[in-house]
Amino acid sequence: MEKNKKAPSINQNPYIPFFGKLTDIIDESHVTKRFFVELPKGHEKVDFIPGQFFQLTVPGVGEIPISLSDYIPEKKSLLFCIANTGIVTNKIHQMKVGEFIGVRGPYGNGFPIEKFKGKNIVIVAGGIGLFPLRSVIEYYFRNKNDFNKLEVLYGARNPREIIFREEMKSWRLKKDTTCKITIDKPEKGWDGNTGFVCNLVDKNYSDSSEILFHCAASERENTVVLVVGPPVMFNSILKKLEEINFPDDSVYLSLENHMKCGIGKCGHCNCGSKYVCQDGPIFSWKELKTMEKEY
Amino acid sequence: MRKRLQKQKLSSLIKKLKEDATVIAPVMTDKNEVDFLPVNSEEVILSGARSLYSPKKYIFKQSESMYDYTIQDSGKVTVKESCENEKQIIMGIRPCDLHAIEYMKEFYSGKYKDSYILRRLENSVLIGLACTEPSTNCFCTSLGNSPVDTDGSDIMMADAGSFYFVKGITEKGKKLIENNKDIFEDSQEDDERVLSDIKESCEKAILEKIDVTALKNKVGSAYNSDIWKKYSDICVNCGACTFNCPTCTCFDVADTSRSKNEGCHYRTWDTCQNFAFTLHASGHNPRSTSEERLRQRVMHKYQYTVDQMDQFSCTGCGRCTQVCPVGISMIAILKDIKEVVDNGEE
Ligand code: SF4
Ligand code: SF4
Ligand code: FES
Repeated sequence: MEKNKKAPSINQNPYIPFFGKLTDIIDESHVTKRFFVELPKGHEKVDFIPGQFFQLTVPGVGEIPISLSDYIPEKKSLLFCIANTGIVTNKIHQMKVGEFIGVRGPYGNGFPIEKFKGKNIVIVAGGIGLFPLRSVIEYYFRNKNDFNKLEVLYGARNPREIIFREEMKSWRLKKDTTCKITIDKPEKGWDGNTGFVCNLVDKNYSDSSEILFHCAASERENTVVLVVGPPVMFNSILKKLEEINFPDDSVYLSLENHMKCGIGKCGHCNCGSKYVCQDGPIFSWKELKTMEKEY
Repeated sequence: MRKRLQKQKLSSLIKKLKEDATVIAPVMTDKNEVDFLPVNSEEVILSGARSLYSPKKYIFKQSESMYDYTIQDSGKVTVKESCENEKQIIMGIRPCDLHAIEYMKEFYSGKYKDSYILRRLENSVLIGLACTEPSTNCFCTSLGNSPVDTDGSDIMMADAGSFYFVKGITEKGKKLIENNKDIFEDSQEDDERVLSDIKESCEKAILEKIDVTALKNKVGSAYNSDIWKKYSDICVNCGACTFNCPTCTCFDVADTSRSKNEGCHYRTWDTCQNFAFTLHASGHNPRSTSEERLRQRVMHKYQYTVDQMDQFSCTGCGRCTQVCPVGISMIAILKDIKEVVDNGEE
């Protein structure tokens, strides 16, 4: 009896994935695809906070952390948007509907979404940084009454790399929602904004954030800013926010440290006293300021 | 529970223990180094200074399969968890290495439990041995540890001349003694004194001393100091320090296929001293310089685990110093840190 009681703790091996079937694969941009993974029996229910990630495994190839873009309970499925950037993601891109992929998670803290209730949400994303934020956006629309306005500020390298193009069109049509896009350099056939995404949070820029610069000051004070992108990108955003004295406890970032296990054991994501996979990947700017700059 | 084990009885004890477990103990290898290996009674070395290699590899394996996978014709994937259930008895573990195992046990527990390591610990009996003689690099007392600490052991042994004084610490250890009671003898009243005698003489013989406990929670203040460069300039990033450290817990995970449809998911020791350890997919590297990586190793041992688990993750075994091909000494680094901390406090 005693033994039975003790056994499950060790025997619930957190490194073992379950395998879900790919039910749909959709091309997103020329380097990214959407993958819908059906949750197998016994794993249908997922307790998930936007901003968390899963470890995906292709047997024989390897395992990688991927943020969840959406959980669709009605369809018992998970949506992962994946860029083809490495060995494992390349293999995933070659997979076909009907094949199985290993899944374990969700891991990490996710965004403290409860704290955002009643507030405006400004999302700033560069490139594929919008993938993990999609779950926040979906959460916002599903629980619209809990929140104020939503603004999506998005920067892509060029028009071909813009993701969620169709969604952005429909988000724009919704009440209280604005989306602004910019591409890095002017290009033939593009008549929108050009330059880096940090422009959109620059007070002097012509098409800058509505919520931060073109609303009443009280609106700005009631706003959280969520930033996802590589360090060079978020550092430039933080500089702009610094200029307008935006409070550091209302800005949240997702760190992209190299990860192997997702559960605080392998040491790869270690940044000072934190494990990005467990204590993060979401940190407030305020927390970030106290941390070693090893991200 | 206190017993005596006559030295000439050691081999019969090992023989008996081998009946239902693998017995691992320090032996002399053909490279003339002391290492922990599965033994036959005769060659066990239970004297002298600690071994060059720690017994860590019997708890946290240098490389191990985590699961086997099979891809069925239907495309479905099944996995078979690697599950070792062999019993092992590790003998002659010095107090510093016992501390290291205790640390690993706590580290690999928590919210997510590392089944492989915790299972192996459950299947192990750890027999400690009080240290009669330090190695030239030992500095356990600097960390507040002592050469006779019993923490982490199931049974503790101490050399008392013609016999070993044997103390059952945990239930598991007491049971082992009980099961072999005809090999042991009753202990005499003041046998326990051997521990304090050993402590006194061994501690006196330790060459390196610096009060690291006084630096608790202060090491972090040396983060931005210029002490790191002096060492990183000569460090060749070989990682020998981390691979030989009994408390280094990092690993890499990979897949390997045996055929089109079969293979395994495995892990191996990894080191923070390697450039690729922190390399982002984007090419960005948060610890791209040798200086940052050397600092990481030190900060992790003396500050980060203090923040996370309220303990140093260095036992003072001195192996990192001993194996470093360019002679980087942990004690020297700690002395520099102390200077930075002391100057900062003035
Ligand atoms: S850091 Fe060096 S002295 Fe400390 S436990 Fe590791 S190998 Fe031993
Ligand atoms: S053993 Fe010495 S040279 Fe090698 S990585 Fe460690 S400190 Fe550097
Ligand atoms: S990814 Fe392994 S410790 Fe964070």
